[in-house]
Amino acid sequence: MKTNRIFLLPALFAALGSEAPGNDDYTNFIRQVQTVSNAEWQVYVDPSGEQLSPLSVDPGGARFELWTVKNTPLQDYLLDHKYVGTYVPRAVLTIRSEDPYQVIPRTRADRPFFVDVDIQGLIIGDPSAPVAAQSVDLTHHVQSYGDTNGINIDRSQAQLFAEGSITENGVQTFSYALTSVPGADRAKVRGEERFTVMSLPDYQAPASQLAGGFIQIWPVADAQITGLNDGDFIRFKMPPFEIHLNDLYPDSETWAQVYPGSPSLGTAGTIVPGSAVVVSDSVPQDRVLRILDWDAALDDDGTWTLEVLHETPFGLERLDYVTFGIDRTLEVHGSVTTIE
Amino acid sequence: MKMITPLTALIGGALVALGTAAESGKQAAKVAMRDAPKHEELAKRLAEFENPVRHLTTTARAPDKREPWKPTSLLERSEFLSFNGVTTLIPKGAILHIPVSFRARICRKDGNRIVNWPDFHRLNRAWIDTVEVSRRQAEAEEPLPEQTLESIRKSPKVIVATFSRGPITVLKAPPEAPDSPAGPPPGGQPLPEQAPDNANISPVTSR
Repeated sequence: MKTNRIFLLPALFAALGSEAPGNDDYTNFIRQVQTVSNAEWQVYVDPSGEQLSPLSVDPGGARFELWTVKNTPLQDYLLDHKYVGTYVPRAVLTIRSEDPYQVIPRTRADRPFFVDVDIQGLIIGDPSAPVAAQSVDLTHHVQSYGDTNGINIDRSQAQLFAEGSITENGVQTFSYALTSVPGADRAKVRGEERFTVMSLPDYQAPASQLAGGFIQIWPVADAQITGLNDGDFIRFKMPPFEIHLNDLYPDSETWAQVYPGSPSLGTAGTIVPGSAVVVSDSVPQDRVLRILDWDAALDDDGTWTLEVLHETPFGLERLDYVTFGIDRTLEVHGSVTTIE
Repeated sequence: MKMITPLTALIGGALVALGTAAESGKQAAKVAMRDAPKHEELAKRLAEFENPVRHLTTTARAPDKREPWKPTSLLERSEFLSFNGVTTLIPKGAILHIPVSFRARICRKDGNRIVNWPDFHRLNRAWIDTVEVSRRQAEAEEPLPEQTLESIRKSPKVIVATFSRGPITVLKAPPEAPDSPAGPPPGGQPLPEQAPDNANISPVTSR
């Protein structure tokens, strides 16, 4: 099967202008040689300029040779040549996650993501086609940011995690349930996963990247409530406490809430004044909040639960909680006597 | 279900509503919520996960045995046409017809001025004609029309195949396989009897 393609020759013709001898002793020729059939077409060329080749390049490719021939003695000189293949496949790679952030695909260490690879231009079912026309390579690299946010990392240090061949045209989706970025604490890994579609090396052309992309992986946030402990019993004014927030997701809202009763996941309570943090950034954030004068959020005696909640594109999560008791009722124990 | 967040609560006055809910206390609303995942859970999930890229076949690739192209002389791959002190060169296989009377002009003459094909043709239209062929015809995927072949055979001039006015090789169709059914070859057809077998007709010598 042949495919019709038009090939532009500006570079080659430009080379002619700069390299071909210019006097009358030399005459310049361009030959387009179809690689498979070896049919040759000769085109007249001006000493400089560019033009379109009207001769389609076969699936096996074509070689464009720029020659000059000296009159006396008759001698030919190859000035330049370029190989042009029609079978270099095309690829589009898209990485999707639950985070709608547009700048860089990103997600969290526990969340899924998807890699769509759209390959076109592979020659299917023709064993005689060049190997580079029959498949492309998909490579998957992972790289940890360590304790950093990945600024100026050396991506040549990424670890090759998996690779395989794609031999079909069309869209394939690779689903990842969670990240594989290296890290001892799986909830705290931060780094990136990189996917690359490469053409295979050809006898005339080296392997080249057809498409690529990466997704950033950020850690799961955590929080610790200090100054108020599980089982505390408070008689008068509510004590101040601190919330230590770590690795807040770059697009998140975090707050503390209280509600009467024992811990019950999914309960909507009263927001503790001064406890809300909104993050709209490109990297995770840490915060320490000191909460004072929060008595108004607690309007009754009894058992109460204080929770730290974190809302991200992945949903609402509880980061930490404590349960404590309150008894602020003033009881006067006494007796009334009279003296008669 | 998205829980009312602090911002929306403050804007919408829902803070009061939430407070009221808490006040009634005993009938607190429920929202979709989960505990943040911990290392143990994620390590277990990762252990069970298989990278889909690893499911791809890693093609065992036979090495491409074709040799990188080594330049071969343009002169060796060319036919020469010479007349009146001027010579041009065109790809071998581009001459479709050479009347006997012009055979002596299909040669290389040292000392002649080399010119490009368009200039040479302009000077020698009296004895050279061209036939435009398609790419498929040039690559023997499609035969030349019988009418064209007939006119080539009868031409008193040298006939050069051109594509977009540039001389082009016209390949011969490959010979039929011995067990192939009778009938015309799938592509191309023998050129006229007088069409040169390049090796025979061209008196061009290598450098």
